[in-house]
Amino acid sequence: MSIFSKGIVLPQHKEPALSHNLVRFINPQPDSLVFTREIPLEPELLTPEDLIDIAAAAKIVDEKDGKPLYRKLRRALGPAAGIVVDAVDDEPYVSSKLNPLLKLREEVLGGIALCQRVAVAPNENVRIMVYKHLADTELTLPGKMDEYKIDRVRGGYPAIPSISQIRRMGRGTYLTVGVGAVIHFYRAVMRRKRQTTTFITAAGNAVANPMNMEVSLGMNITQVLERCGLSRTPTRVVSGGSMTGFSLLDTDKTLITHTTRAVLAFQESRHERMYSCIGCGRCERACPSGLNPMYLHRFVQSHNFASLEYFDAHLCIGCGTCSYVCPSRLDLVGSTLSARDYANEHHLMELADERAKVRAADRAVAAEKRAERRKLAAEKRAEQAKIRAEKAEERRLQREEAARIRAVQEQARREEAARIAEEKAQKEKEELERKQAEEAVAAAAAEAAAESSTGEVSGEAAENPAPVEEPVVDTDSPDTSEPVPDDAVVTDASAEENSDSSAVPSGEVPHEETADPAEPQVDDASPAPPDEFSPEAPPPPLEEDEDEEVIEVFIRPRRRESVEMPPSEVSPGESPPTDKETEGESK
Amino acid sequence: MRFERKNAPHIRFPEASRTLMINVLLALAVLYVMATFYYGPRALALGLASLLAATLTDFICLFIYGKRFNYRDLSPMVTGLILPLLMPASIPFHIPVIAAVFAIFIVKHPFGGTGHNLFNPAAGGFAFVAVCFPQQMFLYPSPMEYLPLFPDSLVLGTSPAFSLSIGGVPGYDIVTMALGNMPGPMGATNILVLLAALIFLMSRRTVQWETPVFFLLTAALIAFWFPRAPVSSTLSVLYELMSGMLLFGAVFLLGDPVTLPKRDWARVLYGVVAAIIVMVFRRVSSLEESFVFSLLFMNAFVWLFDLLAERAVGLLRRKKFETLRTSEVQEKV
Repeated sequence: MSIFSKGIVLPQHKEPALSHNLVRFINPQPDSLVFTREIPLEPELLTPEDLIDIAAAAKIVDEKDGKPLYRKLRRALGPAAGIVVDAVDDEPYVSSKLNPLLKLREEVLGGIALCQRVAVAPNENVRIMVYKHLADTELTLPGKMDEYKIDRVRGGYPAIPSISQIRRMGRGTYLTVGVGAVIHFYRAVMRRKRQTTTFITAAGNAVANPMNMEVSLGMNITQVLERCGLSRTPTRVVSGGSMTGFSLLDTDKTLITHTTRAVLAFQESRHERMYSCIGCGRCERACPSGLNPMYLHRFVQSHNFASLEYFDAHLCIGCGTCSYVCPSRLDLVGSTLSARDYANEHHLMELADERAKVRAADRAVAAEKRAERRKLAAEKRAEQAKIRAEKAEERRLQREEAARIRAVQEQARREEAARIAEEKAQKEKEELERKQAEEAVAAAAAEAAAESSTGEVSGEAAENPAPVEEPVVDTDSPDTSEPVPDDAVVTDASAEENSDSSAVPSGEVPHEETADPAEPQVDDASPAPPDEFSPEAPPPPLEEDEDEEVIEVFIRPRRRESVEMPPSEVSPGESPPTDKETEGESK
Repeated sequence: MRFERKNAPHIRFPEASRTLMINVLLALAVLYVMATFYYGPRALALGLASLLAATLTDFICLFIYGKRFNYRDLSPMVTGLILPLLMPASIPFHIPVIAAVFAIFIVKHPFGGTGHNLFNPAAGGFAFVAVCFPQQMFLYPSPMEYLPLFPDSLVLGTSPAFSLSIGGVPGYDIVTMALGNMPGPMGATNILVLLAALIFLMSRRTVQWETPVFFLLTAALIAFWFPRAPVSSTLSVLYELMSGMLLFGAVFLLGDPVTLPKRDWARVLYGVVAAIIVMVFRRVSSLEESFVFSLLFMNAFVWLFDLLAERAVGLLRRKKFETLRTSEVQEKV
C-alpha cells in the first residue's frame, strides 16, 4: 500500500561532481577570523564544557537543519545512546555531504572523536548515514570508516532514516550532526578557526564543470557559477536541492549561507505545463506521507478549503515527489503546501481534534446512557422473570390443588354412588317388601272385594304412588353432571360398575337419557319407580311435596379452588358454564 | 542574472501525459495492423474516419467551452481509434463517426473534458451506437476476406460471443481464437496481440496493473466455476476470456486511468467487482456484448471506491503519524 512505501527512486546525476576533488573557493581570510580565547593548547586536556564553548565561539552551524552546533552538543552532554553523522544526500545532483566525508576523511574522523568526548557513546554506536541509492556512481563506499560503521539509508527519495534503524542502537539521547559541522568542529578545536566556509555542490545541465566546493559564507551565487563555468545560458538557477530548493530571482543578490547545500543551474527546453490531470494516481503512490496530492490540488484550485482537514494537508513534508512524478506537470507540491499553510493558519487540525474530542465525549455520554438503559432493562427483565416464575409456581400449586380436589371429589362421588346404590338397593328391597305387602294386602282386599265390590281398589292404588313420581322433574334438570371429565368416568368406571352390578339393577341405565349417566346419584333414588308409574299417573305439582326422598342439589357458583367441602355436600360445580346453567335453573 | 520564480521541484519525471497517450496509440496501431491484415484497408479507413471525427469534435468542444487547444493532449485520438476496433469491419462509415461525436460531445466534455469525464468516452459512444444500430453492430464478416470500401451485400455471421450468449459452444478451436481468425469486433479478436499490448502497457506503467490483472483473474475464476456453455471448466475459461471484448476492454477501456479509483487496493477491489458485474451481465442479459454496459455501470461507482479507500488510508495515516509523534517525543525525553 502506498502508505508503507517510501517514495521513489530518482536518477541521481551526482557523478561528475562526486568524484572530483573538493575545490576550495575561499576569500582571503584575515587573522581576525581565528578566534582568540584562553584554551589549553593540548586538545586532550579539554573538558566537554570547553569543547562546547569552542563550538559556540567558532559559531558553527549544522548545515543539516540550521541549528547551532553548541546547542546540540549541550543537549547531548553526558552519556548518549549514539551519534549519527548525517551524510545523506538524497536529492539528485547534490553530493555536498558525501564528498567532504570521502575527501576530508581525517578531519571528519577527528571531529567525530571530539563529538564522542562530549556525547559519550561507544564506537559501535557511532553511525555515518549515507544514501543507499547511488546507482549511477562508480563509487564504492566502504562498510567501515576507521571503527565507525557506515549505514545506508534505504527507501526512495525522501530518505528518512527509519526509526528501527536508529532504534537498533538503543534508547536514549542521540547526537545528530552533519558532516560539515563535524569538520568545522574539528578545525575549531585544532586550529582555532571560526566557521567561515560551507560545502556546496555546483551542478546542473548548464554548469560546465560540476564540482563540490568549499565556499566562503557570504559569497554570491554568480561568483560560484563563474567559478564553475556555464556551458549554456541557464533558465533556472536553484539554491538548495533540486527537489526542495528554491529558484532564484537574482543571482547577484543571493548569498551563500550556512545551510546552502547546492547551487544548480538548469537550461530547460521549454515550459511544459498544459495538461490537465488524468487521474493516473502516481502522486498518491509516491507520496511518503500517504497523502492524496491530487485531491488536495483539486480542492485548492476550487477553493474548497473545508475538505482539507479530511485529507491531512498538515502532514505534507514538502518533499516534492508528487510534482516530480506527475505526468501532467501539475504544481502539486505548491498546492499541497498552500493547503498545509491554510490548515496551519486556520488551525484546521486543532479544530478537527476538538471536534473529534467533542464527538468522543458525546459518544462516551451516549455509551453511558446506553449502559444505563441496558442495566434498567436487564433489571426489568429479571423482575419480570421473577414474577413469571412466581406465577408459574402459583399455577402449579393451583393445578396440584385442583387435582387433589378432583381426586377428593371423585372419591366422595364414588362413596356417594356406593351409598346411594346401597340405599337404592335397600329401598328397592323395602319397596319390594312393601309391594309384596301391598299385594298381599291387595290380594286380601281383592279377596275381600271379591266378596263385596272391585271399583275402590284402583283409586287407592292411584293415590299411593303420587309422591314417588316427582323425580321425573328432576330428570329435566341436567344440572350437575356434564362437566365431569371423561377420564374421571373411565377411572371410576370399574368402581361404579362394581357398585352398579352389586347394587343398581342394570335395566335402569338406558332410561336415564337426559340425566348424565356418570352421576346417577341425584336422581337414582327415584327414577325407577316413576318409570313404572308415569304412564299410569299424570305428574303431580312439584317440589312442595318433595321431602326427604329426593336428594337436594346444591347449586351455587363458586371458584374451583374454593371447593373444600365435605364430601357429603358434593355438588358437581366444576366448570363455570354448567354453573351458570344451574344458576339459571335454580332461579 | 535574473530569472522568473518557479516552484520546486526543479527536475521532472521525463514521462508526460503525452507519453502515456503515445503508448496507448502504439498498442492500438498494432491492432490496426492486425485488422488490416484480416479485413483489408477498410479497417484503416474506418479508424481514420473515427479519428478525424473525434479530433474535430474535441476541437469544437474546446472552442465552445472557451478552453485553449492543446496539441499535446492526444486523448481524443485514443478515443477515436478505440471505437472502430469495437465494431465489425463491415460497419457503415457513419456509425463510428456518430459514436466518436457522441463520445466526445456528450460523454466527455460536459463533465469537464480530459481527465474529468465520469464515464469512459469510448464506452459511452459504443453503448450509444449499440443501442441505436443493433443490426449493423452485431453481425460480423468472416476474416481473411478483403472488404471493399463501400460493400453492397455481404455474408455476415455471428461471433463466438453470440454462441455463448445463447448457451451454445463456439465452433472454433482455441488456437484459431487466439490468433483472432474468427468473426468478431475488428480489434477485439486478436487475443495474443491484446495480451502483448497489455504486458507492454503495464510495463510502461501506462495501465495500472492491478485492475486488468484482478479483473481477468476474477472473470476466469467465475467462468471456471460457473461455465455458461456445456463444456469443461478450462475450456469455458478460455472461451469466456477470448470471446467478445472482454480482453480488449480490460486493456483499453477498464485500464483508462481517468475512470479508475486512485488507491491501489481500491483498484484491486474495483477490478474484482467489475469482473463479477460483467460476468453476471453476460449471463443475465440478452445482449451479445454487455461488457460496455457493465463498464459504464461500474464507472458510476468509482467515487464510492475512492471514498472508502481514502477513509481507510486516512485512518492508517493518522495512526502512523501518532506513532511517529510519540516516538519523537520519547527521543526528546
